[in-house]
Amino acid sequence: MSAVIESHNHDDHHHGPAKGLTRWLYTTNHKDIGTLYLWFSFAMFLIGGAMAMVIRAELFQPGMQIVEPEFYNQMLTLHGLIMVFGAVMPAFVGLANWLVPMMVGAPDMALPRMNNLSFWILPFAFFVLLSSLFMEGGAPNFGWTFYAPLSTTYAPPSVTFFIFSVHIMGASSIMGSINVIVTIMNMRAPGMTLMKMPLFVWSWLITAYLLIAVMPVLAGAVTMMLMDIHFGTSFFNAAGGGDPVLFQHIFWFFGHPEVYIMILPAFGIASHIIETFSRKQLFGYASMVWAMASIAILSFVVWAHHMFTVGLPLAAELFFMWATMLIAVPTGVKVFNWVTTMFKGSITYETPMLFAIAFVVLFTIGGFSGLMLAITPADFQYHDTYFVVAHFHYVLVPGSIFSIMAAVYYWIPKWTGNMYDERLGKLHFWLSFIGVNVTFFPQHWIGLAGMPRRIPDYALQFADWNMISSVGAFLFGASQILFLFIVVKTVMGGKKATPEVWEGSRGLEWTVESPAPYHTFTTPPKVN
Amino acid sequence: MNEGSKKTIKTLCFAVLGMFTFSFALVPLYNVFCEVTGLNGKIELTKSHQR
Repeated sequence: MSAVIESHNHDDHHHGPAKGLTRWLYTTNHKDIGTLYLWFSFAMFLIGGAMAMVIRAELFQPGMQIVEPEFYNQMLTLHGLIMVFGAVMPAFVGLANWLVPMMVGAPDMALPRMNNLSFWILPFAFFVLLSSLFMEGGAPNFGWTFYAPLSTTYAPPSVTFFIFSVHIMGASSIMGSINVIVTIMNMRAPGMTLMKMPLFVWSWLITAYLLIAVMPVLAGAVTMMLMDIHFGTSFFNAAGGGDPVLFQHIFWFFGHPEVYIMILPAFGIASHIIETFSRKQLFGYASMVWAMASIAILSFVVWAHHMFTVGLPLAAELFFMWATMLIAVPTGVKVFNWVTTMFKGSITYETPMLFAIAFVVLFTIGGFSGLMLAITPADFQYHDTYFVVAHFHYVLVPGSIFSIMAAVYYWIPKWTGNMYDERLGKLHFWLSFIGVNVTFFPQHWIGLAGMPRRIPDYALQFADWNMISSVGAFLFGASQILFLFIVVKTVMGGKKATPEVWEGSRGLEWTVESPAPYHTFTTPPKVN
Repeated sequence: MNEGSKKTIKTLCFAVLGMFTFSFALVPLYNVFCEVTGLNGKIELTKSHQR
């Protein structure tokens, strides 16, 4: 028996990562795949960001100066699609890959080969989507919400490639979430009951269930589009007995849970970081779990608040208004829990904590503008104005993306074994924080004043705030180059990190060395 | 892989197929809903003299 164990250990000793490019192509290691996801998402963040720069450059002054309106529409569409499906979602999947197995004390994800597949089909999906820029008729130009008939009857020929690309992204997300659920449900270390799981794991468990429920609906919607375009059906074509409003219902039945898919993991991340840097146990763990579960369930019955102006009956408008406002209750519970965790804590303000606090404050602002939009009669005024743009950018950029940046700063010492440069990290935070607010806060005002979204030109009275907004966007965009530099610098070297990394860190991932060995928890730890 | 994992995978695959089917089931459901409630201005598919 001892001989067997010895030879086993001997094998382990040599079993590091493979050499060369094939390490990344064939890898089934959750840490490698997590790294791939994170780099991919960062590349997409820069590409989608470059498109945002084109948009803001065009909007710098009224009138058409830089791009054609057709190209503007393509930039707008691809910016949305790439940021949602290429930047935010893969970044969270990458974090899940790195962290979920280590946090629950599992040796790897449950389905390592499928994990490899679900990553490696993503670059193809985005290659197909981006290649449509060079096709006759240009890239998709109907907005990331691809409403029929803009995306069917009046779509450019490249819409078929768009559909194929969305199918691949959906398949990738579904495989990723099956992997996460199976890992969490079946591979937890002995003693780790569901209500002892770290909140990031909880947030991802709920997110993965949302993905399982709605990604197939998105696949259904694009399949119906495909059939309308190529096979002569009339799902969304009124001339053939279909209904374009049906498209909006199906899309937002997917779309609303989707926006919570992009924020729930952020809730998990913020909880860990605030707990660590307040040096206190998180306040209200159970209520955090229940709040996330209620938000997830409510997300299925609020979709029509995106389409108050299509002509819903009064009863439906009231129902969707109240259901939407109800979501503020569990969200408020979370915000108050974070604030209470910080209350009387011994707080220090390292970069992850700065990003996490900014997340709480700015996400709350985005949540409040969401509440304003939930009020049906007010929404008739705000619908399709820059107020909506300001709202969802507040919840997505200083919400989701700040949480991802916070997570990178928080866990990068664990990933690379090196501490990042604190001075540069703080500089990156302040540049991003100022940039994001200068960009998006004025958009509330120009939106309330009536500037419509998705139009490359605007009336003269909006000129000043648009220029300020563009300056903020250039600042925010440029400061992400600094982020890239900081990450590369940390990967190359730096002060060595201890296993705990942070003074107040809690959780299994801080019990292994920094950098985390290629294989962790091959024998499960005991959790009390 | 243990039995529990296999069962979870199977359930999840069924859920995915089920939701894909459900998205198509929404089409007739939506039509029925519109007819019953008389919403969305769906046109009556009967000839005028049959009324």
